[in-house]
Amino acid sequence: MSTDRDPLLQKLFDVASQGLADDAFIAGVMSKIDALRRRALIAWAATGLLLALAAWLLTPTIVGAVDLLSQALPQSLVEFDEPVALIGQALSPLNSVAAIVAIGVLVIVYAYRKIF
Amino acid sequence: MVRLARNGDRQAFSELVSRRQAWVRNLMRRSCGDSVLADDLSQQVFLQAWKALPQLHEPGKFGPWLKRLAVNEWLQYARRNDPVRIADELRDEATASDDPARIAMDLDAALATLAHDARLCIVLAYHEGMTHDEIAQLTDIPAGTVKSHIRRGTVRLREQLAAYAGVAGGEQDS
Repeated sequence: MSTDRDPLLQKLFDVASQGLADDAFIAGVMSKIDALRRRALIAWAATGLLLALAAWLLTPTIVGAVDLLSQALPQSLVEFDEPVALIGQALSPLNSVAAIVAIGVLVIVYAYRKIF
Repeated sequence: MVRLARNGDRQAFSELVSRRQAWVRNLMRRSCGDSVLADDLSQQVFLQAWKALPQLHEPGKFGPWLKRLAVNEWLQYARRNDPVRIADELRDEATASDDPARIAMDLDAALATLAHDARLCIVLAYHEGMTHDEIAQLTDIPAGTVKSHIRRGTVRLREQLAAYAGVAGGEQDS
């Protein structure tokens, strides 16, 4: 063992390591922990309240945006008239704003994985 | 017990505090030489333990983990406040006593004259029974510096506590 402890000092340290009255100390620690828990609870409640408030305030905007998206996404990019209507039907899975958005997302994810 | 406390069981944590408090408080008392400050720092150690306990993946290592928290707490405090006392401010050389409380006071007073890194090395060596390498690992102080702190600190403490040579363990001295 890489120590060369002095016997006298070792004895003094051993004697000095006395048992200490613990009740007040433990009560002090636990009361601080209770305060911590209360603060955490209040923080969670405040966050929940803020989120609920934000949802309440933003709901009309969010519903409007979702409505707009649900109208825009199925829109065809190219209109196919009668002589080539069959081709239009065959390409319909790709011929929409939603398809372009999906392809865009896939390309971005692929590029991200390639780069990082 | 550690598992229960880790899951937020207040009673289990209270039991852990009860079991470990004397050890942490004595470590802090030897390190800072001020019982009120030592208890404040010890409370901080247990608060940090409560907050960080969910991140302790091996409950069996609670003791060493708590020791690291305690040492870090002391190092942070010491580096912020540099609580080295000037030897002249302390009372004259200790007169020997066989009262443990008095011995603790004299020991703390003598320890307080050492620089905080040296004091920590001495406390970990004598209070914890740690080797130089273990102290170096725990405190991030180079092993050579740890050895030198302990050697010089021991000489200094021996001088200041010379009165105890004939009372406590004096028969072991050559």
